[in-house]
Amino acid sequence: MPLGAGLAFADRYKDNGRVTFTYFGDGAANQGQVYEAFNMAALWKLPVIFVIENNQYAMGTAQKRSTSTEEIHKRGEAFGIPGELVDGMNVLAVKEAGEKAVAHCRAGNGPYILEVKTYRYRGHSMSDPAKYRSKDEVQKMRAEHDPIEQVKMRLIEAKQATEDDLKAVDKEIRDIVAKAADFAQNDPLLDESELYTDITL
Amino acid sequence: MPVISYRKAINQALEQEMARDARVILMGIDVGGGAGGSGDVGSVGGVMGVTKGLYPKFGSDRVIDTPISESAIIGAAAGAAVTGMRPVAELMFVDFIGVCFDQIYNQAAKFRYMFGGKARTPLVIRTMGGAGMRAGAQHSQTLHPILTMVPGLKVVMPSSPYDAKGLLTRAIRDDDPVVFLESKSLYDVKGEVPEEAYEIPFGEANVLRDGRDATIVAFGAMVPRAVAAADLLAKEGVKVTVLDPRTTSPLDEEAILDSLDETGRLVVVDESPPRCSLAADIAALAVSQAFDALKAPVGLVTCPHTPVPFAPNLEDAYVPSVARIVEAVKKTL
Repeated sequence: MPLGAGLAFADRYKDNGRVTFTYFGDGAANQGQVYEAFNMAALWKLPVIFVIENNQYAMGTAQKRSTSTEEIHKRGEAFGIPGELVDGMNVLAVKEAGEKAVAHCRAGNGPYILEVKTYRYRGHSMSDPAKYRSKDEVQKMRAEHDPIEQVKMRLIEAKQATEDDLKAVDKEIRDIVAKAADFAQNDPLLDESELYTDITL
Repeated sequence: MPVISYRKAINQALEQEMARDARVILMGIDVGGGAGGSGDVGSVGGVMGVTKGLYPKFGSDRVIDTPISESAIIGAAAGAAVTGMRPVAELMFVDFIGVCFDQIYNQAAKFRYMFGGKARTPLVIRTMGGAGMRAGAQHSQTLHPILTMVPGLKVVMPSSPYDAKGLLTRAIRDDDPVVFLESKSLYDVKGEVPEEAYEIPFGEANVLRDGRDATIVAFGAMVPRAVAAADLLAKEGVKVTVLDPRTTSPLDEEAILDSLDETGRLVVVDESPPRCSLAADIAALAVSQAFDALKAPVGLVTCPHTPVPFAPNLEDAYVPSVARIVEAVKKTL
């Protein structure tokens, strides 16, 4: 978050009209550096949007056991930063909130906070079997709130696309991912001299 | 004697000390197991499962899941420690120490000195380090040199299940702040560990091999590699002493110098970049205190001066290997 404030500082200094999005989770929202960055960004009216991706688990600890107040988007109030809760499973809501936040920054009003409520289907890392929540909870979220499924339904209902169109998109994406994975797994290992690449000292 | 893993040995020390002394509490990210969700309460026990089973046994008053707030975790544990509690705070990966270092080196480590000996800070910071897990440059460091240079901190690097249990028990009973550095790559290593509680004193090196041709000093995960190197060398008729100082602060200088008196040849194995490493530190000790005993330049086997690489072959090349240790010993002969 301080790095995001730094990008925004440079943009404001250069007066290039750019806006920075800096992303962190509900877990990282409990780091002290977040509030140092909030204060500085508000003080200097930096064009930065703090996006809190609230997936409801700080690694393995549920939000209600890791966060004293549930509404993280209100934590900017003490610094004079407006904040908004967004349904992160709804693509259109995210787009709309993002555009509003950008307009706020571009108008020279300083930072903005978006708390984007979302979910992660898998563990936090490769060593996290995610046993701290039930399979039912994950299944219910997938079945009822999956953002991609929602977009598909909306496109079909509005006759913007047919099921076949969307299947073709799915296939295209699967091919891209498969090719990338294949490339990564089959690329030759680096020469040992590469250990020292990009280290100046 | 029961044979258990390094992971289980640490768990056992925590369990026994908690059962013995109500002032001992655990706090850290997911140490309890991420209870409070819809899943199986107490199932995680830390990211590597080291504290598994302690939450169901001692409850949420004593096994405390924290927010992801390292400064507050370590600072609060230090604050509780000066009142007489004996907190064991877990800093998940030692790589995250930068976030909370002020609480460690400028606060906890200085209380006894700045308050005229009136403050005691019986704080243990458990954390893990080391490469080889394919976890990238920000989750694979060791960083013990940074901690070792801080006066007022005790720094422990257990290299076996037996040492892990005895040193952690000692750490919890100690009245000063102790950083207990676990090696990720050793968690599944098994060894004989007594069922009952026991302490291993700080500042006393362990002699794992005894030979008169050269001395290898190694720490943490490098100790089993030094032993393997010594065994290979023994087959070629080269008899090597392997010393594990167990704690980098205090450091058993006497054991190193005594061994050097006998062998005159020294190789230090340190999983750390070379500058300001323990390898450099112990080489300086040898040169300044035992120059006359030295028959050859001191061999330093360290990581290169780079971040830990992510490519698996580069990561393997990064960590000191048995072959490099053997080669370094031969160079001193």
